[in-house]
Amino acid sequence: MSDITTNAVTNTALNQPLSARNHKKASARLQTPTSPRHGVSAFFAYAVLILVFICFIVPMLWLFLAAFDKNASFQTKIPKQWTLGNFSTILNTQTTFRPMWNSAILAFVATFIVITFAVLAAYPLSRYQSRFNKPFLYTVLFGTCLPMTCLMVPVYSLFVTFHLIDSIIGTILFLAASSLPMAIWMTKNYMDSVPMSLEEAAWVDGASMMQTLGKIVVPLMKPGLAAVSIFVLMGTWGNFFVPYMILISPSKQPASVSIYSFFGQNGLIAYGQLAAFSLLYSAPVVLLYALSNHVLGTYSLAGGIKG
Amino acid sequence: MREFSKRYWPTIPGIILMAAFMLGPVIWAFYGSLTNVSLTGPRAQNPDFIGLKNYSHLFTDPAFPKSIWLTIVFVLLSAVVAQNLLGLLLAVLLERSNKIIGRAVSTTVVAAWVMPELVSAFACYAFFSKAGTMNQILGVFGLHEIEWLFAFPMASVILANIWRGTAYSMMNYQAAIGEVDHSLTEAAVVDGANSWQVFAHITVPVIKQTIVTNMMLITLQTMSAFTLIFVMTAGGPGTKSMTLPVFAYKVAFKYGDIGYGCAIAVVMLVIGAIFGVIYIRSMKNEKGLSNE
Amino acid sequence: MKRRNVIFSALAVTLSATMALAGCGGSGSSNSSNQTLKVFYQKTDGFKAFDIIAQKQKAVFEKAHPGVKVELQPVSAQESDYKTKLSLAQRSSETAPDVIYQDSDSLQADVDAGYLLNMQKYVDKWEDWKQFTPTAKNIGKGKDGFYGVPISTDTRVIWYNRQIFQKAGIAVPWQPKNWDEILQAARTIKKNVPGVIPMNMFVGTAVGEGTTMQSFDELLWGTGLGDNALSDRKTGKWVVGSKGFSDSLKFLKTIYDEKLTPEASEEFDPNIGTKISTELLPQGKMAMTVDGSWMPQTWVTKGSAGEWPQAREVMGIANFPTQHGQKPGFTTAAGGWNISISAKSQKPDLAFDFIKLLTSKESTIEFLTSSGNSTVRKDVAEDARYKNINPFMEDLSTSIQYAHFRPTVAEYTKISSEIQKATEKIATGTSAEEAAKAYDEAVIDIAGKDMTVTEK
Repeated sequence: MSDITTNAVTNTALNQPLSARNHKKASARLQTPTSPRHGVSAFFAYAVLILVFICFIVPMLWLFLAAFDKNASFQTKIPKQWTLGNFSTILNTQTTFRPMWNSAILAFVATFIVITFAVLAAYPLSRYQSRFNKPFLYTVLFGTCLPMTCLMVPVYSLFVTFHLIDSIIGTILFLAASSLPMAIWMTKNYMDSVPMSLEEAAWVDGASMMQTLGKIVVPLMKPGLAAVSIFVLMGTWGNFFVPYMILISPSKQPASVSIYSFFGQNGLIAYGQLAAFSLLYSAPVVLLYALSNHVLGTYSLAGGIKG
Repeated sequence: MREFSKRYWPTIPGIILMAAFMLGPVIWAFYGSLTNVSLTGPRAQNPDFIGLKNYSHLFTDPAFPKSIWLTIVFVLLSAVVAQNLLGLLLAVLLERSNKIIGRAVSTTVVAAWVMPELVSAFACYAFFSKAGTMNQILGVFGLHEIEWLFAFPMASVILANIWRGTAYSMMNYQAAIGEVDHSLTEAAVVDGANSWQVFAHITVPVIKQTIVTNMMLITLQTMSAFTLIFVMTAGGPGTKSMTLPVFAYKVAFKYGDIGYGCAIAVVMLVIGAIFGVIYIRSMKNEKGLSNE
Repeated sequence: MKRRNVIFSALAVTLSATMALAGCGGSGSSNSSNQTLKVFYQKTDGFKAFDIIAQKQKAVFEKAHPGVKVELQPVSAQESDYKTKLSLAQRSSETAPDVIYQDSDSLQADVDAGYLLNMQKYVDKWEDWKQFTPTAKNIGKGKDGFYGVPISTDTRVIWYNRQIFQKAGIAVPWQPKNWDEILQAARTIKKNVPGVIPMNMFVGTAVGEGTTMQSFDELLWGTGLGDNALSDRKTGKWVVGSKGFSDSLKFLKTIYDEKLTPEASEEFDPNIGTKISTELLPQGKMAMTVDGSWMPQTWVTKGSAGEWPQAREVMGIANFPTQHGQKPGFTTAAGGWNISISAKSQKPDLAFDFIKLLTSKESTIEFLTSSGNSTVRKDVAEDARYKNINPFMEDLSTSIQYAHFRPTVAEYTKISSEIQKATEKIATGTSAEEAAKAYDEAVIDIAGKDMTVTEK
């Protein structure tokens, strides 16, 4: 139990890369004594699960069906005429390609900065004992609690004063800063689980702090860093409000802003295209998540990502 | 001190970044809230310092208490109650379910959460719109069409947020339950405990801290939810679904009153900070940071 | 120590490389801004007129000014969102566009904010300026000079479907003499032609200025105080507590309570205007609406979503009457859009050169052909091509004599949004008295007690 609480701060699972294995063990154990033994309770359990399944999948079906429907509406229906036309209509530089490219820049650069800074910051916090650690970590934790969307009004005003409006770099730095507290927290917890014995050997050999960090610690925590990266990537790729307020030029706007304008302008007419655009825009993060799930285990990403 | 700086310099880049882009806006929010700076008009260039007038305005503005109330309703119903309980229920049921059904359920629930917030907002907008799937389903049962987003804007955004956010709680609980020592549960079963007793007496005590943590985090996330509401109802009709973030947006950018918008931001920051302190306290009590 | 530096510099290099990449990603990066003229305007499926002339004149301009690039920044948003985006862009000198397409309602606010350049010295030397009518020039006038070159003006009328009116037993051509006659007609249609929405007048904040201009102003300026009903034209003081204001709200309340309009939920959709012009009217599902003189444009444009060749036969035009038919009998709110130069522009001379191209006779005709607005240029008004833009042009031209213009003061936009909020309350069930009271309080708050005047 103490193990869990130690790391349970933000998300138990994230800090427990091994839990995936535990879970597999658990699900292999289908007919254990805690399984529903009585027909009634088993029936009840499955009824609930199936109900939940239906409730959750129905709103999603529209996206998949309307995207391929020649005469799409807001109703969920099997298309009478299947088509790829919705995709081909929106696949052009102005609507999709450039915004998707901008999104990629925002997300990848921000993630790169976050991971670099988080690894650097986490290292001393994880490896040295100091009175500095606790207040720092509490502050970081406190930072994860601040509602960032509420800050958009002052951020806009601040950015005007410092000439950062319409600046891609300004947007990246703000996105990076707002995911940094959580990333430091997660990274530190991962780093804690890397045993110190190997580094101690390297120190004895005269390696510097950065060398041990780069050559020993980071390679050992690759899965953890991958999880943090995906967490940051998903957050920045999906962020709408920040670029919506800060990036003015259409040529700099990411897919989230582009798809929103599309919704405002054509969404109530071009239902099929809206659905197609939604699928395209979701695809990278959904695939990335699925991939990480496969590689890192079921729960590697549980929690942490702001909804 | 030399030793200290030698060891802790790597924290500097992160500290600078956070100071500039998180602390900066926070301080700016306080500063802006004391002025009448606006988006256009004479106050755009030369705002006056007006002291606490924006705050006193908050208390006379009928939209503000309403917005606070809607935010509380939104957070309580969609997150604290629904996401939390449904997430826990799913985690418990999935632990013991058939593998294929379990996979299907968890993939679907998680998918609603993995897709970008904007896309889930579109999906929900389509679902609840007049010509949408919800009314289609009602039609099958012979019920009348309802303008969900108009007649029941809060119910619509709450249901949408449950749909979108339950996965988060579910995964937190799945992970926590995965850590429960099975020899304990098995022993209890041998002693004749039923499923409910096992859950109440063994599982819950173990995942207690996760429950607290999870509630705290989803409260904070839900409080600042913007995109979902912005797309589905834009806070309307009228002010019927205008939670604090949408309120701040409208005041500052639609009506151009940035100073007043900053005051609302400060209120939200204070609420967030209170939750943050409670959260950290609860962690301390549980020795959450004991790994030093 | 040395090795640490290696790692560090490697990091720095990667970081700056990605930063540079980021800069390139956004094509219009800042280093090219010296010889770039940024043009900021609205473009939607229903409004492509400015985009058409901007594209065309960009080519002309770039040819005439080698080395200067015109960067078009079309904003795809409905009107109220466009205005927000424009204010956001103007606040910062980095993003302030050089040339701005702007509704005249926010002109003075932006002048006071220091966003716009006084163009007096440019228009004084401009040959074409004498082609602009005095009324038109007012559209671009701020307190101390001209801040915008108007490109179009517009009025509002009642558009009604003759076939539905006849079916309901109302004689056409129809011209109501007072508010009651509008109500009577709507009630008759509701009774005699079920399934048809009798009328529309915009309410709420979703349509933004459309609610104020296309709906509320028609009512307000037709009440007892006439032209002074919103603000006293001499003193500039805002009117509060007036009977005219609450009567106007009561009229809206009546049509909503009696369900003579679309569902309030549809009214709160920013796209309601498009829906009416492209669906409800052509499909015969709505009998009348109060809307701008640009309405026919979507019907005559080939290949547009709302193309409707029979519109000329089906649709009729009536002027909006005053409350009790008092003189001059009718009202209309007139507005207009300007092309302005940002005060922060580094190249105002070039910007004005571009504006000259955009507002030239030929370009104006092209703009109006696509937008359906009315002209502000004398030479255009006389041109046969203008008169033939759509078959309604002649009928529409009578309404301009009843025009009321919006007060050109900074507070206008804020007060206008209070009007929109008041109408939104009406449609969601608040009483007219209560909504009017809230409006009065807000106006006093915005303008200050000494800039308001209580009228009965």
